[in-house]
This record gives sequence, C-alpha cells and structure tokens, in this order.
Amino acid sequence: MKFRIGQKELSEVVAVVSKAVAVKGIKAILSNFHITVSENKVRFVGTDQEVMMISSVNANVEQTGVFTIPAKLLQEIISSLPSDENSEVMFELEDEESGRMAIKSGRSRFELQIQSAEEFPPVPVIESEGSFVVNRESMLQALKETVIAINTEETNPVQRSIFFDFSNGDAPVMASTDSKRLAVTKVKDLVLPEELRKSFIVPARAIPEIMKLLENREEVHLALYGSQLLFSTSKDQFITRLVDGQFPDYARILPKSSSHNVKMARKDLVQAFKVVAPIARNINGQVQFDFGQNEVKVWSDARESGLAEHFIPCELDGEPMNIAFNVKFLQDFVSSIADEEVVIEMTTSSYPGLFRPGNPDSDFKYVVMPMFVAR
Amino acid sequence: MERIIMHCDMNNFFASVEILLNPALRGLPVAVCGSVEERRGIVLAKSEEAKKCGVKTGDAIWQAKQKCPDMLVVPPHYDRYLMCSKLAHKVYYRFTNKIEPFGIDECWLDLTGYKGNSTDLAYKIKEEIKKELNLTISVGVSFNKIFAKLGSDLKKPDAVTCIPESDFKEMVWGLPVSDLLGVGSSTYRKLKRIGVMTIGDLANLDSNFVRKMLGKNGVALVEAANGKDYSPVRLYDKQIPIKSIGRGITCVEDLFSIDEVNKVLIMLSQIVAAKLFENNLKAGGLQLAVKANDLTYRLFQCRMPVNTFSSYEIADKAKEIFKTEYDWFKPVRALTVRAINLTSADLPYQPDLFQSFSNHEKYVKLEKTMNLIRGKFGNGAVALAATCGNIKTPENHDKMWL
Repeated sequence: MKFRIGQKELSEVVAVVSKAVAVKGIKAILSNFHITVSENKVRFVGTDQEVMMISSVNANVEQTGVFTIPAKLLQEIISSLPSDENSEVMFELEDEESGRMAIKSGRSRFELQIQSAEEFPPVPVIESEGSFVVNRESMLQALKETVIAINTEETNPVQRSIFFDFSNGDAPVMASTDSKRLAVTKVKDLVLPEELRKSFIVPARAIPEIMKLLENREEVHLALYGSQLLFSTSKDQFITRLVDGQFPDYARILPKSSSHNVKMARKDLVQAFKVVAPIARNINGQVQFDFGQNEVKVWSDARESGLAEHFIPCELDGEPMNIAFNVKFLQDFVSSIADEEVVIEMTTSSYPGLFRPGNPDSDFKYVVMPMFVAR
Repeated sequence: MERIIMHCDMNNFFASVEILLNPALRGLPVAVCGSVEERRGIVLAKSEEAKKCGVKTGDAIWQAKQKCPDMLVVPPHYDRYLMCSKLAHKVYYRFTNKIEPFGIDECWLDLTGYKGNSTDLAYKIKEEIKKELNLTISVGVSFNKIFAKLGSDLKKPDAVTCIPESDFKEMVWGLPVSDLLGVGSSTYRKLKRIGVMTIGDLANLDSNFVRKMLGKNGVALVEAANGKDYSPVRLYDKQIPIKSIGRGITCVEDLFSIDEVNKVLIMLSQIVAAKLFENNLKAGGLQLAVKANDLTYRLFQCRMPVNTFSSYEIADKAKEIFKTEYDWFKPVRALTVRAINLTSADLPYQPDLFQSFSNHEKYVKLEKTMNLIRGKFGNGAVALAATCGNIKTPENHDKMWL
C-alpha cells in the first residue's frame, strides 16, 4: 500500500471524519478511521455506530488497499506538521507482516500500527445520494431554533433528539423537547418529495454534524437510506440512525390562546437574566416576573443566599401578573435568536408560556412550563 | 482554660425505665428483649440483677435463660424510652446548652467555665436525675469527649469518675485499647496483631505507621489516646442537617417471592415518605439494603427521576431496584429503604409539560393528603392498600414511625 495526499486536503478530511469517531471506547476498532485506498481516491470512514461520516479525498495512489488506523493519533500527527500549502504526506506500508504504516512529510517520519479492517462495521455502498436538494439556510435556521430544547443529560433518547415532522411535506416542522420546554418551528421553503414525507426522530448526536454540513457553501442532498437518514455533499456523506420511539404530541402543548401578551427588548432580557442567574442558581434556577403595564420586575429570591432584582421596560397587553420560569431555559431562548424584540404569551402563572421572536414572520415557538413552589 | 466535658450514661436504660414504670419488677432479674416470633429475640438491655448472672446485651433469650433461669422477659417500649431520654436532656439543659446526645441514653455536656469543683458538679447533676426521674446515671468527667466517655464506662452504676488532664496517663494508659471510643472490633483485631493491647501502647505508636495501617481514623485514635481530642460538644438546639432517612425491618418469615418483597418495600417506603414530608425534604436518591436469610448484605443505590416525597414514587423505585438487582441467591430476611441526596421541599420545582412523562404532581398531591389525614387521625389512619393483609412484618409498626 502506497499513496500520497496533499497535506491540506488530508487535514481537512481527518477533521471532518473524526467527528463521527467514537470518543469512548465501546469497541476499540471504533476509535479508528477506516481507510480505503483505490485508483485515485482515498476514502475515510468514521463511526460510533450511531452516526457515520464518509469522506473522500483525491490522492496519488501507487498501490491500493484497505486498513484502519487510530483516529486520534493520526489527527494529532497531521496537525503537528508545519503548515505548508503545497506539501504532501506520503503513506507507505513497507512491511505487510509488521503492519506498520510509515507516514512521511517534509523532515518528519512516523510509523503507526495499523489494524485489519475486518472487524470494522460494514460501510454501506451508497449508489445514489438522492436528487433532493435541501434549502440550506432554512433548514439550518430550524435546527438552530430547535437544538436549544434538547437536554443531553436526559436518559430518554426521545428527549435527546430533534423531531423532523415531515409528514406534511409542504409545511415541514421540526420540534424538540426535554419535557419541561418545547421548541417548534417550520422549515421554510422546503417542499419534500414523496419518499421523505414521513417523520424522523434524529438523535442529538447527529445534529452538530448536520449543521456543519449545512454551513458549508455546498449543495446538500437529503435521502432516506434504509431506516436511516443520509445527508450528502459532493465530498461527504453523513448517515445517522433514527431514534426508535414515539415523539410526544407537541401540537397539543402549543397554547391556543392567551390573555397576557408582553413585548420586551431582547437585549434587556439578556441583561436581566445575567443579573439574576447567580442568585437563581441557588433555588433550582427559578426567576420570577412581575409584569406591570410599562415595566417588568425580573427577580429571584433565594432567601438565605440572597436576592436579585432587575427592572426593564415592557409593553403589556392584559392585566398585571406574576409567573416564574427556569432562567436557564429562557437564556437558551434569547441567545438562540437575533431579533430585537421578544414576545411572551401567557394565560396563568401555572400554564405554559409561549415565547416567540418579535418578528411576526417567524414560525419559531418556544413553550416553557412555569416553575412552582413545592408547597 | 481547661475544658470540662462530661459524659452521662443512663444505667441499664431500657430495663431501668421498665422497672420505673412497673415497680413490681424492682430487685428482680429483668431483661428487655425483642420478640421471638418476630425473630428478634435477643437481649436489648438488662437490670443489675440479670447482669450479675452474666446476661449480656445481644444474647439470644434462650442463652440468657441458661445463665439466669429466673430472668423476666419484657418487650421494649420505645416511646417510653424516648420520653425519659427527653426528660433527662431537660435536666442537663439547666446546666448547659452544649448537650450532644449519643444514642438514646448517652449525652456529652460541655461545662467549661464552671468556677467550682467539676467533680462536685457531676455529683449534683447525677443526684438531680436520680431525684427527678428515679433513674441512675454514670458520669465521666474529663477534658475531652473521648476520655469523658471512657470515664463514664469505668464505674457503673450511679457513679462519677474523673479523669483530669494532669493524671490521664496513669489512669487511662493501662486500660485495654478496646475501651477507647472508636476502636471497634476490626480495628481491635488489627491492633492486637501488632501487639497493641493498652491505650498506652496505642498512644506511643508512630503516626506515619498508623496512617499506613489504619488510615486517618487511626491517626485520630492515636491523638485521642494522647488526650488530644478537641472535638466540640454540639449545641443542643442546633439542628443537625438530616443526611438520609431510612427504615428497615426484619421480616417474621423469610420472603420467597417478588410479591412478598414488594409489599414490604411499599410499607417501608410509606414511612420513609412520611418522614421526608414531616422534615420538609425530598429524596434525590434511594438506597436499598437487602439481607438474605444467610445474613449476607447487599446494598443497591440509584438516583430518583424527580426529587420527591411521594411514597408511590419511592416504592416504585425501590421495587425497580430490587427487581433488577437482586438475583435471589437466597430468600430475603430483612429490607431497608433509605432516602438519600435530600433536598429542601421548599425549593421551587419544574413541572412537566407533558403529563405522559410522569404523574409526579398527582402523587405529590396524594402524599400531602395522606399526611394531612395522618396528622389528624394518627399514623395508622391511612395506608396504601398493598400493605394490607399478611405481609410477613411484625404486627406492630408503631415504633417505626418514631
């Protein structure tokens, strides 16, 4: 086996594929890259058995072959090399018996122990990547809005996922919930083909990688691959398993009406939360709002530990009221949007509050269950 | 200023209280014992007369009767003991507010600053207890808690022993090392192996050597043997934060099935839940101890999905742990349910958007209602139906509610 790859291309492909490599060793082989050297291409595969990233890079191949190599070690070696646009990295398996891959670049030389590819999970052969091209901006926006309601500490996988509710293919919806709050949004300008008009529960693990693919300025294709979802660009293919389960009936939770609507400047809220959060932390994050006609008092009373208050202007439509929320949930919301204004629609202090961006064109809805005092 | 620490130990406490409340028993060999039917038939306490025959705490009743055929067996009455204990605390409280109870029948008192003779003061306290409660105590007087405790054990009953700082080596160093508070059976075995027989032997050990053998507790023991125990006596009114609340029971017959175990777990969880509620606490975790009928112990532990004082949720978790963890290598003899990682029930809490995720709120409401009923009509007034019928637990659970 012998091949050469441009150093820049190599470090790019290693960075992309390493994201899918298993961090904790469930199976030792999963912390390796699976590398296939063919005619004039080298394909890298990484997987933790929940997601899989496949990426190919052009190479100057003298002799083909398949092997696996420790991913973290290779990544460290490549990043240790002095950056040089034009330099190349040469791989050569000098002695088949010993299984040591020699890696040479400039004045450096390494030898890494490679392992057989046999134990690596089978890499699917993807014949067509599907012709459906997603609207990158709107999909990315929807993911940014829904990713905030995922709680990665939850044990229930459904509460660590984003629900792609594409059953109505003309108005696809994304939703997520950790059961205390719910984020729901429409994916704009996305009309799905027949085969994708279904719903998918996409695990949290896959979301950052999908977002990264969408951030690149390249066409992204979406296709159903068996019971998995496939996102692909011209270079990269990303496959994610789907969560097997029932996503709760989110539509039922969306408040149908409200009696207290309030509008505030987002930056005022950001400041208010910053002020009360250190105190609120002592009482499970509880922050209270006293909404008046023109002003809202944002406060947190942790008794022995102390008290914090912050006053901000508001426009209230309805009677004055008091309500309490977990400050962390609200911080997640105000930092996920860019709008100047925030609207909260409420009914009573024990009924979920609906938070949305001030822009009336936005379909983003963030529903938060208020906090109670135990007795 | 030299500290004046006293340790007051109520003599033959359970037996003395029984005799006090039934004077016909006075002068007879009396032993307070658990019930044989409930398989707890051991001596818990004995009168001086029974002691003279060689009856020891922890003897099985049949063993004790061999030593003392005339021995009278009386069942325990924990409510009475608790009452007498509280009354004794009241007497101590006239002398100081630094009173640290150690079990139901022992207390440390800090009387530092007393201008008169400390031994005379100890006699005065002892006499007041005798006059007002008709119970005798042994008092140890010293300059730290450990020697005060040692002193009260030296002369019993109805006695005062003083171990002053100036004479402690002569008085203490010759005593067997097992007399020292903190030297339990396993430490004692280790010390014996290296030839440490007396407190003096322990005092002269090298602390680095002890650290290696017994860890930092060992170093503390060497310090204590040298009179260097500076631990304070707690203020009586000071609430010690509760770290855990648990209840355990030895069943009257072994449990052979998951159904039998579940009933007992529900019964225990119910009491633990009520105690949590009473103390305004919620459980963040749960511990389950299972004693098999060969007397081996298994301890399991887990987190609660939501902090709670609901008996339903605690029982559900306890049942779940048992089902997943216990392998039935032997039938079950005893079970303990313990609420751990306690948090204040006053903290605001975050309810669920989807009721389908949990019925927590419903259970909380139910628990509050059950506790209101208990407050009005007594602990037995309301119970979970699953605990009805034969659940192989002793008839009378009253003392578990204490």
